[in-house]
Formats: sequence, C-alpha cells, structure tokens
Amino acid sequence: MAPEFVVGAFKSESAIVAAAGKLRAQGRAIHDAYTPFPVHGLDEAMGLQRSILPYFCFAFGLSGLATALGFQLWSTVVYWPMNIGGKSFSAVPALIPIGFELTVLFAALGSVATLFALRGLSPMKTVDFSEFGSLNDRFVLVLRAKPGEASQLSRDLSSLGADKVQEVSAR
Amino acid sequence: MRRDPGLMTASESSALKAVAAIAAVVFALAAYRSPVHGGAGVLIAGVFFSELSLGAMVFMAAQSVAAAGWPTLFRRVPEAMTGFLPVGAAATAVLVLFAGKLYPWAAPGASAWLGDRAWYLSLGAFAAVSAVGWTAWIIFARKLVGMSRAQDASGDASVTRRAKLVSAAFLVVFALTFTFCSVDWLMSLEPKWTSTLYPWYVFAGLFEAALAAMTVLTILLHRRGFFPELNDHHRHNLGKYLFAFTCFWAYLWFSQYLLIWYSDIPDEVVHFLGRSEGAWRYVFWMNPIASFAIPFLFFLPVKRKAAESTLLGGALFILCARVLDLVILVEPTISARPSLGLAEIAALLAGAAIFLLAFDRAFASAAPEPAKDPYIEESRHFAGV
Repeated sequence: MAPEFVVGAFKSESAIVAAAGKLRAQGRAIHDAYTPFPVHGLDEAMGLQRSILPYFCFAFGLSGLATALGFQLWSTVVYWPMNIGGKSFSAVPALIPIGFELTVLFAALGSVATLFALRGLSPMKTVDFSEFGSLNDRFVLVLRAKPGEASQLSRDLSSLGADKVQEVSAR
Repeated sequence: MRRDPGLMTASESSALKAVAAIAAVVFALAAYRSPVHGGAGVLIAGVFFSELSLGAMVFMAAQSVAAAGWPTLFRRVPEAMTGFLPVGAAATAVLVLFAGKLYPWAAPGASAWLGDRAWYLSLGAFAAVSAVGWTAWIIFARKLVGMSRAQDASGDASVTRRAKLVSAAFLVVFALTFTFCSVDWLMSLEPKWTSTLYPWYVFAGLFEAALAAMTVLTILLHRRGFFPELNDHHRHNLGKYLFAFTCFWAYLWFSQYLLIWYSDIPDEVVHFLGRSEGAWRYVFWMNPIASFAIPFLFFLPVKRKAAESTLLGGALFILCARVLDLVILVEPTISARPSLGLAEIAALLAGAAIFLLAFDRAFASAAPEPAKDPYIEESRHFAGV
C-alpha cells in the first residue's frame, strides 16, 4: 500500500515555520503540525482557517447570561418575591454579579468542551506521530501524499532542513 | 533640531499653535466670566492630557518589567507622550489658583464642617501632594526616556536590564502617588464623600485613555511612513489591550456603583444621587454604554482589532468616551443640570493642541525607532498566536 503521509521532524521553530511557508508557496497542502509548544506564526504559515471556536464561546456566554438573569428574575419576581431594602423586586444591578459569573462559567466550560469535540480529544486519545519527538524537542510537519508523490515530498522536506523524514502509511 | 519630519508638517504644526493660542484666549475670557467653569476646564483638560502621559509611562514600565519585546518598534510613541508632563504639572499649579471656586473644602469657613478631614483637605496639603507626585513622575520620565535614547548611541544592551529596575520602582511609586492625587484632584470635589475604589477607577480610565491615544498616534505615524514593519499582529495586540481595559474599567465602575447602590447609606449615595437621578441621569447612563458596551461589542471580532481603520476609529471613540467619563466626575459638582461651559471646551481644545505639539516635538527629537534595543528585531518580525 502506498504511503499516505510524509513526516518531517525539524529542530527549531523558525525552521518549521519557514518550511511550512515554502511548501504552501509550492502548492503543497499541509496535513498538520505537532510542536512541543505553540509556535508563533505557524498557523499563518500553514494557511489554517480561523477557528469557529469563538462563535461557540460567544453563544455559550450569552446562554450563561440568559440562564442567570432568567433564573434570578423568576425566583425574585415570580416564585418568591422578597423585600430587600425597599428595592424593586426586579432591580437590575443586583442581578449583574451572578449574570457576569455564569457568563464566564458557561463560556469557559463550553469553549473547552467544544475544543475537545472539534479536535476529537478524549482521555483515551493517543498522540499522532508522537514517535517523531513532538512531545520532546522536535517540530513535526505532516504532509498528505497523493499516490506516487511521497518520494518527492520526502526530498522536499529534507532540502528544507528536516533532520528526520519518513513515509508513513495510513493509520 | 529636527532629524526627521515628525507627526506633523511645519504648516500643520503652526496651525495647531494658532488653535492653541485662540483656545487659550477664549478660555481666559470664559474663565474670567465664570471662574467655576474655568476651574472645571483646567481640571478636566489638565487631568485628561496628564493621564495620557502617565498612562504611556505605565505602559512602557509594564512592558519593560514583563520583558515584552513586541512594542519595541513603536516605543518612541509612549516615550514622546511623556513630553506633555511639564504642561500637566503647570495645569495643576493653575488649578490651585481656582481651588477656592471649584473645591468646597477650599471655600472660606469650610474647616467648620470638614471635621477630621480639615487637615488633609487644605491648600497646603493639596499643593504638597501634587508637588511630590509631579516631581517623582517627571524624574522617572526623564530617566526612562533618557536611558532609552542613550542606548541609541551606546548600543549597550545592559540598559534594557537596568530600565527594568527603574520601571519596577516607577510602578510602585506611581501607584502610591497617583492614589493620593486622584483623591485630591477629583474625589475631593465632594469633600464629605469617600469611596475606597475611586483611585482604582480613575486609574482604569487613565490607562484606557493612554492606550487609545498611543494606538491613534502609532497608526497616524505609520500612515506617514514611520514603523514600516508595523503589522496586523502589533495592531491586534493594541486592540486586545483596548478591549481588555474597557472590561477592566467597566468592572470597577460597576463594583463601585453596586456596593453604594446596595447599601444605600446617605453619606455614600450622595455621589450617585447627583448623577444617576435628576437632570444628569441620561448623561450618566450614557457613560457605561459609550465606555463599555459599544467598544466591547465593536472590538469582539479579531478583524476589527487588527485592521488599521477600525482600530483607529475604535480608539478615537474610546478617547471621546474617556472625556465623557471625566466630565461626569467633575461637572455635576458645579452644575445641577448637564453643562459643559465654553471654558471647558476651550481648555480641552487648547490641551489637545498643546499635547500634540509637545508629543511631536519630543518624537522628532530622537530616532523614530530604538534601533539598538535588544528586542527590536523580535518586534520587527513580531507574530502573535
């Protein structure tokens, strides 16, 4: 079976950013990159589209605010009205702290859950291509190879400074 | 001694000088007719433009202490913003002349009802506190800007490390001195009212205003050919700063309002009764909308923070909102109805013109970029996450 991926491991973040930019300029599509820490500018060099995560974050935040305001108004106006310091039952300033807290809570937990769902992360998940050292000190670039293209991609990666290049079949 | 054209051409600069002179004459006449509004004008304009200088210093110091490299490319902008500091000190001196009209505690016979506060709320203590503050700030500004400019010639990388120590000392000194100054200049307009959150609140506005002004000046200079490497990532960071500190300001504004509204104690609530009730209420409730809600929603998307025109527009809007906030702190204490006299408007105009002239002079008197700073290359190739 023909290799599906070509993997190159780089020694530095500047090397992987430069390589990703050059490969994209040559029209190669980059499957993914694995690095020990977030590399500034790599997302741009890889041509990653903007994540849809912020929209989820905003929606979760709004739902947190709606939950907080809704529950407080229901409890203090409808279900159990109480006179506190002669203030109106629906006095808005008193609702804001809880509203703020639940906005942050829903937005934060919702964003993390969405991130896990979008990236397919779970406790049993193993790291792809971990044998190339992306959990240690290597910056790993993975290209998807069309049939017959793999050996050319390997040469390209080597010439761009990858110190370890390997063709990997589907996994 | 211009090495480069600065922000403005010679004709623009002389036009601004004319604006400053005319505004100063109008101010003098208006202040003569109504000294209370004259005092309010000096206070609002003096504090607002001093805040831009002081906030620029806080920005520089915070970046230096955090060893942040990204703003090095345009660091001469906050450095030049400190050029207004001596004018701000002079404005405080003029304020002392108006104190009797503006501050109830400076009126004759005030010590009778001031009680234990009389010793602090006096012209002597007021002048002493401001003098200590201004002296410290001007010395620190001279030192920080001077070290950075000396590095241009010497190329000595250890200057950056020593600047870190000076910056750390400045942040501590500034926090203490500005706390007292905000109490004296603004909170003492209502001598019997106190709020422990007030200095924080004023500081939040100060930093937000300075960030907005720095953003505007950086973009204008970029449009005139300075900082060719200024990119979307620098602008995105500036936008994030503006966004974050609108939230910080709103947090403090609301914290102060909520606690006083909830406990409803007559001594405390008097500050808000004159603003959130009565004729001022529409202006008062406009403040959280203009200072928080609009900039918050506007700056949510990345594109608006990173694109030059939207960042410039948003920063200018925030600057206007900062003036509104300051007007709401000052004006209700001298007028029961929403008012902004001719004196205040003339003082703000004169302040803006003088601030820009002082900025331009300071900016043109040094190289536009700190070329020998160890972080300059990092800043020129800055890419965010």
